[in-house]
Amino acid sequence: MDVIVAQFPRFLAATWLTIWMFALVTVLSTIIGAALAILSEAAGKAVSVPLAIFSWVFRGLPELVVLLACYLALPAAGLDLGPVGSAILGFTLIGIAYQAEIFRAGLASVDPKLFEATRALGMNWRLTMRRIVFPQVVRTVLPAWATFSAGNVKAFAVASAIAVTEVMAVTRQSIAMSNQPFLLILVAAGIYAAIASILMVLEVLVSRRFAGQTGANS
Amino acid sequence: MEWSVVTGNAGLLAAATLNTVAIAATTIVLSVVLAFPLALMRDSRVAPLRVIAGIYSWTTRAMPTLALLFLAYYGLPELGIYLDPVPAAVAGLTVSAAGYNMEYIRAALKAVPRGQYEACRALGIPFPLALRRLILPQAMRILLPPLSSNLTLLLKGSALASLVAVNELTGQAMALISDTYRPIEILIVVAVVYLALNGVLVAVQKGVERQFRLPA
Repeated sequence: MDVIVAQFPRFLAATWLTIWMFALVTVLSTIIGAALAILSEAAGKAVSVPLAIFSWVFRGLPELVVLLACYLALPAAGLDLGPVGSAILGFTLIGIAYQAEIFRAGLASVDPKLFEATRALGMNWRLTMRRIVFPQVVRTVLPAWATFSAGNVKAFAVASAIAVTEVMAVTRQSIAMSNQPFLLILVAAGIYAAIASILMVLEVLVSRRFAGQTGANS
Repeated sequence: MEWSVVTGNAGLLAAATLNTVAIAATTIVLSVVLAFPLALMRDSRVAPLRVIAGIYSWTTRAMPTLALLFLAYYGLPELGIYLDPVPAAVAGLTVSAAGYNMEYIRAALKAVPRGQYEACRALGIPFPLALRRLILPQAMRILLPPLSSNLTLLLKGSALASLVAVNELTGQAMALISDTYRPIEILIVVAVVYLALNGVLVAVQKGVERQFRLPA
């Protein structure tokens, strides 16, 4: 246990780093992914084809390869973001690929008749999006969004490979200092599981709110 | 661009690609084999089996795959079990993937109508035979899409093996990058190889799914 006590401040700092990196990446990739999904719906092939290729590439590559590209290849091309910046960029690119797919499916699930109805009622595009599409898409997208995001927390452990001192990196350093790898790794896993659980609770709260607001409880 | 770093090391990269394929293939097979009994245990009538499978499913899905790999490589020696890098990587990836696979298998088995199970019992078909000839072929159609998308994740997951000293594609790439300082060329080639392998896996999936499709 001594090693945990001795390393506690570093674990705390690492946990905080993991949380804010994850929060930033999730917010960025959700907003950009959703925007690209809407854009590809609205603008047609000019956006949807490049988006499909982008999403196929970044969903097909191992996270580690994407991170290495951001950390090693970008500086060689003249853009040095440092470990944390590279990790944020890499995970955001991957996140956008998944989020765009999730939101595309969500938009596709909106009944086309609703669009006809809003046009017949004279609602403009913005109003339709905000009052008709958004409340429905949030509900259909939420489970997939939460599942991806909660799973994505765990992927952040890979950032330790590009010198980001997040939880897994501190774990590795602590293993090197002590001979208690089992305990240390379980503590690290517990931290990731806790962050993921917070997200799951958040999902329940949000889904409850949106279920109440629109009346129907499906 | 200086492609000689790739052509000059083509042999190394090819060998590393084979390692990646071998690790991914072994993990794919083992994780499905391991997941199947776990899925049956999860809904077993014997409470301890149910609890064990439940704990397994929860812990392996809550832990980062990398943590499981480290547990197999750095943690097991604490218990006196020494695994070489490749077996440790395969063990970690398998344990992680089996946690997901068992939930997909379980959901698929549950999706087969109850009447089918009852009919098997009524006809006196022993459970193993019923499972193999009647339940599984029906469950397969539901199981294949989520299972195969998890298997493509496994291919990507095999890259993590490089972090426990396995010389697969990503590990070899990292070694070559620190040798040659040409990250762009090497990572482009590695990315293309992963995407190609992914494409092969998706094509295999499509073929298998066609096998199990109901005649129209």
